[in-house]
Amino acid sequence: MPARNSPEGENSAEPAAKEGGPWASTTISVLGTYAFSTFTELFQPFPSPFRQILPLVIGTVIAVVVHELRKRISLVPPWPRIWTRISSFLVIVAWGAAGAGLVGLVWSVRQVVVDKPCRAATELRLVTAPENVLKLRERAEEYTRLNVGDGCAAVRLTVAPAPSVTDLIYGLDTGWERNDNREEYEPYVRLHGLQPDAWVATSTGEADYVRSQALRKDLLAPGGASVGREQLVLALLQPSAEALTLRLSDPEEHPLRQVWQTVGELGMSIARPFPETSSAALIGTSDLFAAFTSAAERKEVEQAMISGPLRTDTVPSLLCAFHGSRAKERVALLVPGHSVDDYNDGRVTEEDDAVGCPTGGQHGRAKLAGFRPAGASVLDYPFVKVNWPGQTTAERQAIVADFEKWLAGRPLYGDTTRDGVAPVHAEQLARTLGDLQDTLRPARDLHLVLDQSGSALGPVGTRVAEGLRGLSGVLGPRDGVRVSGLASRREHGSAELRPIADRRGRDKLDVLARKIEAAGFSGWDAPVSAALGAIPGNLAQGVIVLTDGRLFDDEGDDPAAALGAALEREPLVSGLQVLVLGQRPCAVTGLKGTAKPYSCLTAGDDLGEDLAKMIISSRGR
Amino acid sequence: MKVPPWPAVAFVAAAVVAWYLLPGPLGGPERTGTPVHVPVTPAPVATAPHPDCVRRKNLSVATGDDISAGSFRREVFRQWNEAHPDATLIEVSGGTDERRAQMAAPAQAGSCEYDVLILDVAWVAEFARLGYIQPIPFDPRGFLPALRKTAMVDGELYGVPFAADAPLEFQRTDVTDGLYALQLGDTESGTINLLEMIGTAGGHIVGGDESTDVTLGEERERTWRALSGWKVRTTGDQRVGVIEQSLDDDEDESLLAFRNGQTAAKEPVAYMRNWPIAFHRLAADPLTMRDPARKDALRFRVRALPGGVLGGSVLAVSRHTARLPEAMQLIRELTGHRAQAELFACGGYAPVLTSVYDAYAGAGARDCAALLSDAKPKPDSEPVAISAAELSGLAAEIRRAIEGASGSETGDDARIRPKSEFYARFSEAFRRCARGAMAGTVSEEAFFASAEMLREALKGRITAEPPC
Repeated sequence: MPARNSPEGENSAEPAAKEGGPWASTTISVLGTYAFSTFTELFQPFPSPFRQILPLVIGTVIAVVVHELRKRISLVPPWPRIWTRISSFLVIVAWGAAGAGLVGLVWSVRQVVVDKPCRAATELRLVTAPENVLKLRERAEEYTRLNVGDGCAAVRLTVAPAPSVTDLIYGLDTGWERNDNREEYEPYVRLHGLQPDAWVATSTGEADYVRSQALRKDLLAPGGASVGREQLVLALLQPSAEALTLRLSDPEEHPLRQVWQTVGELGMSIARPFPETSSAALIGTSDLFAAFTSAAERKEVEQAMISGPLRTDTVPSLLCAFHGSRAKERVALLVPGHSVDDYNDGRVTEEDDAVGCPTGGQHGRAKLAGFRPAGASVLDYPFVKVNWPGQTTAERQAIVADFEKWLAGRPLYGDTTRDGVAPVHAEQLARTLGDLQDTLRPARDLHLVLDQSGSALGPVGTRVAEGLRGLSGVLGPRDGVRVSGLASRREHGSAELRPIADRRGRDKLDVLARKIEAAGFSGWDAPVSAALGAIPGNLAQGVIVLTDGRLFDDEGDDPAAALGAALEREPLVSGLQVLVLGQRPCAVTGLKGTAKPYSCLTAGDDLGEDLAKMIISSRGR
Repeated sequence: MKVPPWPAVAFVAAAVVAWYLLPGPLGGPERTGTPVHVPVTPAPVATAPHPDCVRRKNLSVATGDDISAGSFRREVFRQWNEAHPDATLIEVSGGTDERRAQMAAPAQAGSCEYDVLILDVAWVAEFARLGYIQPIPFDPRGFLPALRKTAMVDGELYGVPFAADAPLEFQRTDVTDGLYALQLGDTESGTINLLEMIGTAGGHIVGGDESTDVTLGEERERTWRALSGWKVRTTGDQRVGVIEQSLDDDEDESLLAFRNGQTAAKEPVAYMRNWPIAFHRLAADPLTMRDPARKDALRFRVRALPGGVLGGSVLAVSRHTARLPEAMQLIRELTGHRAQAELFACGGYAPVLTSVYDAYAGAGARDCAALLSDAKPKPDSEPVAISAAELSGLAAEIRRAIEGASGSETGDDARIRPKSEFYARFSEAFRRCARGAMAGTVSEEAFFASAEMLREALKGRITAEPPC
């Protein structure tokens, strides 16, 4: 082995490499580096980023020290051969350590550089129909996780429910302000929540309808990728579905008209949310109107739905009402296909607990089954970009477009449509809305009775006025609202119904609101039953009482019987609804001795929404 | 045969392996998931007004829903409009996230639609550091010192305190052996209650002048005891059970349970932690919250919870406004003695000025009707108005809750939440782990291992594999 004894051999790595092998050297270097990189745990007391850097620095220092030692320390000659091997080995180790150290150094420098707060994530706002909010939020979170660089999120997506189609059109024209029928001098405007950078519409027809109606149609980008595809379905409890299948063998093979008739023959009714406030319901109503072509038939269909047992404003609230209903087996729901899964999985009902989803229903045991009747429209969920002046930049638009593209590849709902079905057209929706408002919606006279006692000052006055201003969407052109105040001049004295405002249409709601604000609240509580006898006018009216809850206290020992008898005595009062504001619960939940409709609700955060529900609910009565 | 250059081989091999083993950026290939998607880059935050800037006709003030009693905040703006060029409140309905996003998104794009923003104190650092609002010329003397701090970011004043909030304990005097109502739901109020619960028990989550040092792990035992023992709370020298539904409740739901004196499950409720605004909502209900024989006697008492978390709102000016002088004039008016006293007495907002607290501590205490010259008490009305004496008592407790038992600069003044532009990320991560620990789904080890995740969250970073 001459090379080992050669003079060159002492200065070269070759001998050691041949004996110890390069793999041993490399392995030691690697193990050392790995050990250093795992030392982070031992360096926990040090603040970041020193905690990460320190082990690497120490590793590098050791490698350098070893290298330097090798150069400076001259070992005694008795073991020249061993020293030659060791020194060669150390050279390789040092080079390995240097390699690892260099990477570590670059990594460490970068850590220091990037270990500063992230840049601002781009804030994007998305709206969609209430029934799609949960799924769109899931997708938004997924997209956010995908767009993380150096641990920093590039986007922050906020998802909120879209307003009704009518409000959306109005909002586009007014910079997203609500249609509050407010006078100019009021010092406030209210927005429809999030002003969207993108709107996931329920169907292309709906998006086209909004584009055709909005004055600022230029704000909506044309087209828009479809980010989901499903159909409207008829959802029934399993036993009801079996009964329908017995009659029609395969309900999906039969046209909507026949399914409607068979459902009726089975003693069931079809429920959908109020079409003026729910896009899915508007599309469903449009499908039904396409199946029933004569004006008389349409009137009958609409009357049946508006007077059905579940009258709500959105798909989630319909599912909620169904969840709490005792007559589930007699109702078929016309809802988007995914809502059946949402209901069966408890997603909607749990989510809605916060806004009053009734508890104690049969959820968990009673599952829905969905049919896609022939003639039920496709919901194709177009992604509509909204470009607000002064709020849109090319960079923001690029991110919105990227999200649209990604969402199209990861749609909200997988395609469950039948062959040959198509989305509804904008013209159909326009016709349906026109039919509803101009001819089919019966004129409704409402009488708001305000608790005008002093105790109601805070909760009732201002909130009612504010809520009333936003009600034009649920009132038809022929509807009228009048307002009275109820109080007594002395404690336990006789009830007085004081006129606050005469009958006004939906375009004069601000007049009503201002009269309420100016009315003043003083006096003592008075019984509601006494007020019913003093309701003026010669047309049938639905009465809505707004109170802080104390009006029931003066109804005697049996308020349910007293109110029931009073309601029965008054032929012009078609029904009574009570909305309790403030924190008190409904003291009277049902009436005795009358078949006229009665309901009592505790108001939530948005009084306008509660009033809208009551008005929807009062239709058909 | 040529011998390979082994040192070079070792150098390269070790470098490659080191690269593979090192974590994070520049370290190794992607180990989790297989995203095909190319990540987007955040759009830059506008430093100048948008070229298509839409300015409203009036000075515009973006804010959330009006929660003042009788929407009194609007009344204050009506008063302003009578004597000045009009200002308009732009009220954004919806939850906290929606309100924040509706103010942040236009600001990022350079919108000049909003001149003044009424911000939650927890957002001030974010809006200041990310360039959505501007430092303002204002002398903050006269404000409670603890509140001044909420509007300071990196040594500059970015806003003026508008409404204070500090936790109070409400106790029903007519319910004995009742339980305690907290707000531990999955909302920001949950974060606040959890921070208070741990802090007052001597535990640690955050510390430092700006509450941005994550100190989770110090006083580990006390911290864990506060979380695992959440079902019992100490008030005075009493130990009181906490109602189960607190785990899902927010302020309104707690208030309902307290007002009813019981939960939906019929558990009696005698105590509640809540903000000062709850006082007006309770005291204005004569039937349930006042003695039927003596309408001037409340059926509940209120006291400060020193060492709690400071809430409230701040008036800030948009970076892109062209109406700075008018905006400052409005801010001065809204934070002046008269407006603050009226907002307190009539609307229930806790004042931010020492002068208002001083007035209510002495002979200057007035009720709402006395403050509003045109609102005389109606002789036929029931006596439901909140009296000057009641307001005095409330003001004293609010001040004590903000400043601590013996004035400011003490250890038990109300604490600020972390002043980070990524506070929301921290809040969500902390709440997830803490609520999990209370529910028993997060172990003690996992909870304390979240310290690093919280540090990263305060820098805006998402931890790929969070411990909880």
